[in-house]
Amino acid sequence: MEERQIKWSKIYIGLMASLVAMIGLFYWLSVAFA
Amino acid sequence: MSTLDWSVLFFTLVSIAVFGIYKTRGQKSLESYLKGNKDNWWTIGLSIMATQASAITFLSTPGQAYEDGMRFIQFYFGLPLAMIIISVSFIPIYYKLKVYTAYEYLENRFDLKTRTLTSLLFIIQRGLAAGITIYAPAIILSTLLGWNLTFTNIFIGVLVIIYTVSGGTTAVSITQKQQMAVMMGGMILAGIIVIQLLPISFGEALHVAGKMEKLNVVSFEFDLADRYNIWSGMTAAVFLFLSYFGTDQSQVQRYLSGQTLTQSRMGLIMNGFLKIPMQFIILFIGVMVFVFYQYVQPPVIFNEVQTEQLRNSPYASELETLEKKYTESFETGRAAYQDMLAAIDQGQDQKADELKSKVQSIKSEQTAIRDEVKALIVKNDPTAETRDTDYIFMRFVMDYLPPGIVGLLFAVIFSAAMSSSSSELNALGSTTTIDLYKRSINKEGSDKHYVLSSKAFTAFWGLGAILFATYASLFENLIQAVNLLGSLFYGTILGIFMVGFFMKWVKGKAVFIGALMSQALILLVHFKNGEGLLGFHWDIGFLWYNALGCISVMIFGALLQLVIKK
Repeated sequence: MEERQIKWSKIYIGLMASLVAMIGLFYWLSVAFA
Repeated sequence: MSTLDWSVLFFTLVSIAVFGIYKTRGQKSLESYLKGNKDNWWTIGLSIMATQASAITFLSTPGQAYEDGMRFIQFYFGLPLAMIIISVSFIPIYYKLKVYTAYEYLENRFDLKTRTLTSLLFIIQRGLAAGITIYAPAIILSTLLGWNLTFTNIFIGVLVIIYTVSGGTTAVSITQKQQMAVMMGGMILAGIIVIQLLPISFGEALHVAGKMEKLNVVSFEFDLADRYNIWSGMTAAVFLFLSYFGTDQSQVQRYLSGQTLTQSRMGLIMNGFLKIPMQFIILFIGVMVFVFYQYVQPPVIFNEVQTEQLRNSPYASELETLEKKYTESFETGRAAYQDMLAAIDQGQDQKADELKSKVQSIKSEQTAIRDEVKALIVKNDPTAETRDTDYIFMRFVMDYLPPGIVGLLFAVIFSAAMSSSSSELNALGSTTTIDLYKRSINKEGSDKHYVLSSKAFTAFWGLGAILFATYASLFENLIQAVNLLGSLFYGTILGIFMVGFFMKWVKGKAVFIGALMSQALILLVHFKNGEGLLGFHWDIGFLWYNALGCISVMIFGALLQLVIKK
């Protein structure tokens, strides 16, 4: 796995997108069962 | 605990330690001893996670969710961004310079005094914290297992010292892989069992938890004094994580052991992806334990040693009266929960909300009874610590989990203590050898000499940690001071690195004086927190010290460089 083969920007965007998705899920959990 | 539990506990802990020693026998060079044997990304990722997951993570976090709900998870929202910044900026520089410790970079970029100051700050803070890493779980585990506290400290400490000294960084990462498997396996199993033990369905349990505000994960209210809201999680916590993962040698050493730069970066990113789900699982288990105890009566106080002492004291009859009151209140509460669930099922929202208020007032009544029992405990023994949050989860485990699993869950706690402790000792040994001994005391030693020195320093810090843990109970204020120390120094250390990475025109003298000024500012802010000075008033949470420390070093450094130039 060479450094140049990795699309780091896509991995970083994926990581931040997963954070946003998790926050969304947590928010839903807070609201749905309140 | 049953014989099976004791067997599971000892077999798990001892086999991991023996495996670590066996796999790393014959480490000869300083490079392989301190930098490990070229780990792949997932080993690095697990090692990073195991280093951060201390025993307190598994003891306190479920208890915290039980009492306060899941909002603690917001603290970790800044972690993914910090992982990206470190992956982009910090790791490539460490790799380029082929450093053993993060602080070596500072001499290359600034000068020797900045490197020595920063490594000393790390050694003081981490050296004292290593004692707490052993002491904090030992005090709870010794109570639950009926062990002598000193024996518990020595048991944890000696096992860690043996494999960490013997195999260095490789032994730390190999054992952390197994320990992480035990931790996650044990917690997932505990989660599945607690859900199965619930006398209501999983969906109903979510409604009970939600109505009792245990699932309020995200808070949008901005409050500088409160670290558990989305704003402080996304801003102030980023600085803390940048400092911890980017400049604390106990973490830096984990990813410097990578095969390549890519493997190290991937390991760090893996932590970014998995840390929040892991914390979520631990907190969620705490919430499910809360729901369980709304249907099955919990002990009035979770530290049962204290209730037993009270039962054998002149306050026994008062305790009995309070326990009866507690049982009555619990039965009323359980009935109210059933009514509330029925109202939710039938879609009667207004009735459900009315019953929620009723349940809440019953819970307040139960809290008042618990407070009365706590007051009795203090009357009986004025030195008693009545906070029992850290006992909630393991009390549940001991009372309701099947034989074998109880031993596994104790192995989880011990593994967590050992995994974070081994990284700390490994990093302390490396920094003392590389940044102080090899750099300033004995520059001409052979490779073999420095391997032996590293082993000696690691053992020295390990024995120091055991000694500190053994006598820590005599210095309660010292423990608080050590916990505080991290918050006070982290911002300044991060600031020095940030100037190094991003403000190339600022030189050593400016950043050194800037760092001292920033540290003075942080101490002033801390000691006058809540009071203020010269007409200014402030009340800020510890988490913000990291941001303030970092930004002030950057500003002071820049201004001083301008003055020095003129």
